[in-house]
Amino acid sequence: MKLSCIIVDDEPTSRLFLHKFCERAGSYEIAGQFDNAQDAIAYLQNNQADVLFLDVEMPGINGFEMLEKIERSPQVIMITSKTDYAFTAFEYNVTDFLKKPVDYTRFTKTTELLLKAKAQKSTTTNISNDFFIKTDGDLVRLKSDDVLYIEGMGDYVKYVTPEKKYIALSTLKSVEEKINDSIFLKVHRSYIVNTQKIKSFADNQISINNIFIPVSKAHKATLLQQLSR
Amino acid sequence: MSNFTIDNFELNSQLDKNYLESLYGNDLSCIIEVFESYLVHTKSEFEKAENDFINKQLKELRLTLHKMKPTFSFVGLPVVTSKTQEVIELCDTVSDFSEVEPQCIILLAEIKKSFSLIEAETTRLKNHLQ
Repeated sequence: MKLSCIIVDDEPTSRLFLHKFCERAGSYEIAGQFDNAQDAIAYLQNNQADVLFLDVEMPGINGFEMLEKIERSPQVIMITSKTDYAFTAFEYNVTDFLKKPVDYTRFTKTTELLLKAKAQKSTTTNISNDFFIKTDGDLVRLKSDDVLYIEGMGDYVKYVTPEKKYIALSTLKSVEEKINDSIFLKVHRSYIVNTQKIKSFADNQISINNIFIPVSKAHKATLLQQLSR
Repeated sequence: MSNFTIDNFELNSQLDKNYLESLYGNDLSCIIEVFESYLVHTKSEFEKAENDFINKQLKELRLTLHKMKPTFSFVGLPVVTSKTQEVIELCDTVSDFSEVEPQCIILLAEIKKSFSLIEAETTRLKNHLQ
């Protein structure tokens, strides 16, 4: 099993150094290298990667600002020479934090973490087809089959079923990380849909239960791929 | 065998052999690649650092040094990385350029010296692998 990865660092020798580590580890396929966050963001809008090796201090958009802007985040390994950033890095749910210059033994431990996480993701069914949400102080069990779509509203998400709407304190990003991705698909910055409930797709809109949900340009290709299966 | 040997190649004693070995194992061709990158990119940043120093631009100099800092370790000079960090921390605490000037002069001289060292070592490595 190989991990596809991209490297984002404005310093060329640092990128080369990490590239060499990835080659030496033998567990990576380097899908791209970028000297700025903007190009990396554009790449991730149209491509997937298992791992993002990300520097923090870069001109223009820094590493943390980049994480705010990407919609579907791969596993993130933050690499920087400033340990001050470690706390902030974990607030962004990064998988690991490596201090420059990276030590190879430490890098192998990170690789093991990443491989384990990928193996777990491919063997589990993501909490079966049911999941729990906390709404109005109660823990409610929802069946994936009942959920038509999920809408992100800042610090809240709305789960829409044919009978009811549930509001939970969460972000769409964290829902996306836990949800069964064989059933649910993100089609817009603010919407994840149950693909089994899609009635039609036209004019960049999905129809589910007579509700129209927009599909963004960035997600259209993936949606079409899913629908053609 | 000498303490400065990697894969039968005797490294210059000014480089941290154990550190290089921990980074690259016995892969001398990898070391060459990284050294060559250093000679291109870090040298280019160094020219910028010199300009920042001449123009007494404290903030810009600090940023340039920060960017260069890890690359010294990549080529077996972790001591230079530490010294660069010290100067960066000093830049963060002072408001007047004159307060960092002496330390900057020493650091920039040391960095400049590293280029001829790494250049010579790269040539020797390439000859060794032929």
